[in-house]
Amino acid sequence: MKSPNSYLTAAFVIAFSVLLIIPMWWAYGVLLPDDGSHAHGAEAIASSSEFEEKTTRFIEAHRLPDGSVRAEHDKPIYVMANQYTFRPNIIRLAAGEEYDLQMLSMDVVHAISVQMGHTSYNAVVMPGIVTALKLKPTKPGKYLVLCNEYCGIGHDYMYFSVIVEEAAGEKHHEPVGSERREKGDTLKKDDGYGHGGH
Amino acid sequence: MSLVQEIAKTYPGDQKLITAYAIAGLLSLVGAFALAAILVVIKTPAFGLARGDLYYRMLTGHAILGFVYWFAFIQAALLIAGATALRNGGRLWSLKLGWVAFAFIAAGLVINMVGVFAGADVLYTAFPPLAKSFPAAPLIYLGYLFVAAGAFLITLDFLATVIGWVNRKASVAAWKHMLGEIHVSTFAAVCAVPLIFSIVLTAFFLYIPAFMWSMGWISTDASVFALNFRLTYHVMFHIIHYIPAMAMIAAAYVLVELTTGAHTVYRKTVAKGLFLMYPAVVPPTFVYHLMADPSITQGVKIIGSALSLLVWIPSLLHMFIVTGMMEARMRSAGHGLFGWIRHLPWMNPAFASLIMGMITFGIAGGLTAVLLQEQTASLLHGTFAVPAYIHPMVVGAASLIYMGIMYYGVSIGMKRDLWGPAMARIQPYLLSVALLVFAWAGTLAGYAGVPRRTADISFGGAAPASWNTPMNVAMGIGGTLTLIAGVLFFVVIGMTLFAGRKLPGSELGADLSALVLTPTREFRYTPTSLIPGVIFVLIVLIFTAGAFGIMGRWPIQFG
Repeated sequence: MKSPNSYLTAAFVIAFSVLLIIPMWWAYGVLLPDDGSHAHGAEAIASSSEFEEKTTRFIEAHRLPDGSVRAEHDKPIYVMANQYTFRPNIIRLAAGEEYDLQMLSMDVVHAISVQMGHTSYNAVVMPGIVTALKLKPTKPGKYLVLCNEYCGIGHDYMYFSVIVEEAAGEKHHEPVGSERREKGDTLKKDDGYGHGGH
Repeated sequence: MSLVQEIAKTYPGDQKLITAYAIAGLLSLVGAFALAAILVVIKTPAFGLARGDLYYRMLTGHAILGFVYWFAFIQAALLIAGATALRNGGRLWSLKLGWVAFAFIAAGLVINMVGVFAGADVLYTAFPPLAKSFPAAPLIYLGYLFVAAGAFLITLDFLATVIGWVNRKASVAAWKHMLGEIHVSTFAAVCAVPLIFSIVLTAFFLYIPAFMWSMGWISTDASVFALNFRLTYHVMFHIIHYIPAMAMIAAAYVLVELTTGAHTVYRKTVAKGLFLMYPAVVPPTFVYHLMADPSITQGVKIIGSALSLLVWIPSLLHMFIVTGMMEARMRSAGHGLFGWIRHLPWMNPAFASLIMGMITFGIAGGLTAVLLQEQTASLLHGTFAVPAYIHPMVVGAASLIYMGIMYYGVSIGMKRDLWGPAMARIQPYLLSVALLVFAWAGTLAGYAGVPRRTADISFGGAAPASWNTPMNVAMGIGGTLTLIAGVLFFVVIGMTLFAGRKLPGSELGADLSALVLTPTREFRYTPTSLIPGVIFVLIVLIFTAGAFGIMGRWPIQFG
């Protein structure tokens, strides 16, 4: 190129080409918000006591003898977070079905990090505003869901599990992905109220 | 007159003020590194010493010392230098105000540290409602108010100094003339002023009620307060990030001239115009921190995300211009298309700080790609990938370039030759490589799901054992080497201050002298400097495509 300014122009073109990310969003079909994609839907502001009541009724209605709850795909799943437990602590889903998960913190800001074998999905769970997620599990297995927003001294032990079963609702399969370090037994039996989950 | 001679003409009173800020900053950085050593030990799984009680307290202290006070002090020093050292003997509007500002920031530091060690394990974010359970939390909010006040006062002092340079304040032409003739780095500082005032205003708006709430003087429903606080906090927080970005680039323009003798190839208005872009493109970037939050709508996140892409543009172009300055200078001396790179002053510790700082900035910037986009942020939000990019940015890029400036500050200001030049030569390379190891291993850990801000990542044995390897590399190797590099820098600077050979006049010692080159031709073309930008854009696009690929194969699809 003959003029120094041509290099400057080339540099501007290169710099502005970061905007090629936007056509990538379009190509992946995620440019514009549409139904059921990438919500962290802003639900109405919810009161703790209302949500706690909904969670209790959900657990009562779906509790299994082993302490886990089996969710139904056409009804919301309510999960409450508070220092330092999630309630319910073990949730069973069926592969191939779509679910509506609603989460609320009863106290401080928490978050969830759904471990899916060498990758994770992360969302914040706040007090006062519900985190609404659509989820569709496709692969049976046991998925650990950690709290990944520092919430106090017990933060390092705050987690729950999602067990995805075959569509007919049979026994769960082996854990997904990487090896697990087992200290004695796996998660202790839980009564759905978050006791003994960690 | 050379830039060194110009800097040497700084008025002694201003120099004393700059030195006070710089030394206070250095001591804050030493504190941050000391606490980082404890964090490295706790967070290296191989040592098996994970402890929550100590970890969260040390993490709070480390972040406040490193991100708040090291930056507050050193950036104030650079602000004052921009108005004095780059003004051929020009003086700050009010030394008294400069010292009052210093006192406010120092008081903030003391208050914050008392709070931390009195048990406010709230991290530097100190979010409500969590802060309520820590009785010492009010001291965190109060300390922040003091540092905000100090930052406001020193910025006011700087602004008054700049306004004083305009002879006929009613004349637009006089303003244009002043803005046109000031050094590029001083102009960058002027562009940072509206951002600093926004930060201070938001800080008062945030921390005065937070302080009152934490003292129990006002009662506010904690859940509503949490939502509002978090939103306002992140508006302030991301603007704060861009002060080091702008200051670092402004410092790069000074360093490239001091180390290679390079002058600008393109019209100064181009570089100045690019600094002017920052106040416009930075504000929407607060959305980055709220991509995984339920508190703002997806539409706002996507628009914010798109607007935020613009923030890479001035930084990329500045990097092109600075690299181009080196290239044109070297090629004017007859070096070849790529051969000029070999002949750069790699043994000059300040040049090493500059070049490694720029390289680290580029790599760390590329790592942020997935986190900045609403569509992909959920892959990495809250994971270890976040500190994995932050540390190369703030330590390996901004702090490293500030360290380069400090080498000159100590040499020119104190008239001392560098003590321990061999250590000074290794330190920038060690620091940046160590942080790039931290970045690479930490990013792998983050993609694997390892959370950030968690003392014990084993979660009582429930978490995958495979997480230990990247964390051992990131913390055990990267973290330890970073600490060693930091110690080398502190030793060199500390010993230079007291035991460096006295230099006559305003000449520099051999290690920091500008590269001596004999121009053999007029050369103003900079093709090779285009290459880093191309690599950066490719990295960003590849990481984005990779993230979409990973998300498409998730065994649970989220929407």
